Amino acid sequence: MASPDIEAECLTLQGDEILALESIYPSLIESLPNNEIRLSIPITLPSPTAIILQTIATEPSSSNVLPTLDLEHLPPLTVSIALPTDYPLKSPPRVVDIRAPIPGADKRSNWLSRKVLYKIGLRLEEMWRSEQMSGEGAGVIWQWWEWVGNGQFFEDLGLSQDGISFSLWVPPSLVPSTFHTLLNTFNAKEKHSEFESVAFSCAICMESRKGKSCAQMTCGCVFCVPCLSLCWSLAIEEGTLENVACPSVDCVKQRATGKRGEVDGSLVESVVGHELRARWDELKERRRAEIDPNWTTCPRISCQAAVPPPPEEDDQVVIAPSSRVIRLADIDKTESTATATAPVPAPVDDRWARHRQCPKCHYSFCLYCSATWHGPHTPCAFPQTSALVLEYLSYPEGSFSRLAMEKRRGKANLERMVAQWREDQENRKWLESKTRACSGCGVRVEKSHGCNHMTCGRCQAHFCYRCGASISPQDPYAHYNRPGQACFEKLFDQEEIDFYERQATVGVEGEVEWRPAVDIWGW
Amino acid sequence: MSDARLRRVQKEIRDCAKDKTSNISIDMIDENPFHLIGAFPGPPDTPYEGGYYEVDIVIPDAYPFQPVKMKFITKVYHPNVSSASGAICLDILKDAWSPVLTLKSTLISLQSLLCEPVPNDPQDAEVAKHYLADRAGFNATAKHWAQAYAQAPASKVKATHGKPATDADMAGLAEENVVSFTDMGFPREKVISVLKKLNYRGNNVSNIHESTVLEELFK
Repeated sequence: MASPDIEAECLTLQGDEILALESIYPSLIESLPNNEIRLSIPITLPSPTAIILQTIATEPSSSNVLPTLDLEHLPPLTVSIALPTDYPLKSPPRVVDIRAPIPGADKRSNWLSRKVLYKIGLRLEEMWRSEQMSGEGAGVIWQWWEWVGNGQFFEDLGLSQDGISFSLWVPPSLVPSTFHTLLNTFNAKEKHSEFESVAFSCAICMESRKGKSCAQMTCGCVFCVPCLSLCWSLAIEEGTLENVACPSVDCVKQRATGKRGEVDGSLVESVVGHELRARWDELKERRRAEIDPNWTTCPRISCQAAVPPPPEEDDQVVIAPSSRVIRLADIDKTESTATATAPVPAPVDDRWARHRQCPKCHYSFCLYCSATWHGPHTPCAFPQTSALVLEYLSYPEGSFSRLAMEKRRGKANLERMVAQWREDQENRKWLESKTRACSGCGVRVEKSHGCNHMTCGRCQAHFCYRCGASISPQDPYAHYNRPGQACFEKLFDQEEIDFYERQATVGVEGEVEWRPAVDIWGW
Repeated sequence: MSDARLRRVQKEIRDCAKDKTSNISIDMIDENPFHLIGAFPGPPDTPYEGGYYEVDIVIPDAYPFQPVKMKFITKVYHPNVSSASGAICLDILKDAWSPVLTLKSTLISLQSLLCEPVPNDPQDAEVAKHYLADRAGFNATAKHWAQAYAQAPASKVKATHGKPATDADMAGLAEENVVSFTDMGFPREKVISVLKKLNYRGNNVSNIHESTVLEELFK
């Protein structure tokens, strides 16, 4: 047993040591009865370090390999130390209890194994002994604290194979992924509170601010929230969306040279508030609609919100090629455009593909004609389709505008429309040149042969095939017999007469339908 | 917002006054802290060396989120500065502005613009043409301007030239070229402005036919 003198000296030394520790680590030291103290030692690695989690599972399978953690902060160790009356001069401090509780998990779980914890505890006594050898006889708790707190023990206790990463065993009471999440969460929380307590100098207002009122961007730059708020609000109000990003000189320069500087939406919301964030999203979408031909704008003048393309369905893409009619011309063109512009989607012959619904006002419309959705089977009203086709044809083949239209509406769709339009044009031309509308009902009538006096098969109206005028059913030929009339002596066109004369002189039989002519000549 | 702007500008003026190493000054014209005059010496080893350049500074309402408005008060012969108005063509005064930039750092950027002209993005096309066609002639003219308008010591200029700068020197033109047309009876002022416009300098003289010049003079 030590002498009272030594005990008195030890008591002073102990008091000094605890006081020193308390002043360095306030609120992390607690005095307990029986001359025990409880320490809570936070562990902060000097730099973010890779932590590999290992499971006790006998067979390493791909399912229990967890992603490596990148941590700087680990949950604190709680240690109870008994200080003998003759510590530090004669006896070592004794670790009564050492634990590594996991915040958020069962109290009995430790993030370090019992064995490692025991070794850590032993080191305290070892440190005291080497201190004794050097003859100083000073307290060693601070030294040991340092050794634990900066993670030096990982290396010294052989928890690292390569010296760069450390490995931890997943405690048996926890699911590996839960352990992973808990450690990660703790690290993030610590980092956040570290950020909040550090003071930053905001380069915009040039004032020093606590991290609590600052925001850090993905690029690492930090500005105070009031400044960022002013900066971004102005940008959103003025529509200069590229300025809703990091305002630092370097980041601005990088953006000016074309690099993207996206800012996380939740950060924008926390800085400028919900309303402006919504406006920002809207403006972004609208701009996107201007640039991306797959997007369109709501045709309702009062809305004009950006309308995205319908979500792509996998089966649609698979079915599409077989369901469409492939023409030779198509194959050539699709291949050449595919090489020119990679993002052109595979042409899809799906009539639902032109259906769009505005996400804002829910107006359901047709992408081609902008009219209210007319269902997948009804074609667009002609004028719109025609305008679309004319626009498409007005751009030279392979031009950007043409490719943009193809991308927006689908190449096959457009080509089908063009083909349809061409056919319609041909039909119309043919109808105009080869047929005549009935003066009574408007039905187009083609004259295969015969005189110009027509009687409509539908409405029985009499009309002149040559000029289209109505003819009196009572005296139809007066139209051709009265001098001064435009159709005087034009009951038969000259070609018709020539034809019949030729037939008559050559006298071909059976080759042409000769009979009607006889009828006609017989009037 | 306006409070923050005032605080920042006042702080910038104070900081600049404290900083003795940069040689940049920012002063108020009157009581208005948003209309200032900045000044800096011409950078060494340039034709502007020894000159003292004053810049008119207007601080916009949304400063620092909008770029500060700056133009040279002192006349400068430089491709990116209008020789008539002093307007400046510099990216950070337009789209590359960052609220982190200060009056001082912007003035430093102006100073380095004097070191490194960007003739492909000119503010003054005639000066830029001169710069590209005849570097030595450009440097001589810029020196004449520094001497005449920016109080650059005359001795330096005289050492290279030997006599005070004439109006032809100030336009960066050779005296004999000017005289060859004034001798035909055209007013000297008009000859100088036409030759300037045609960039009738250095090697370019042989590329421009006399009739082209006369055509311009008769306009």
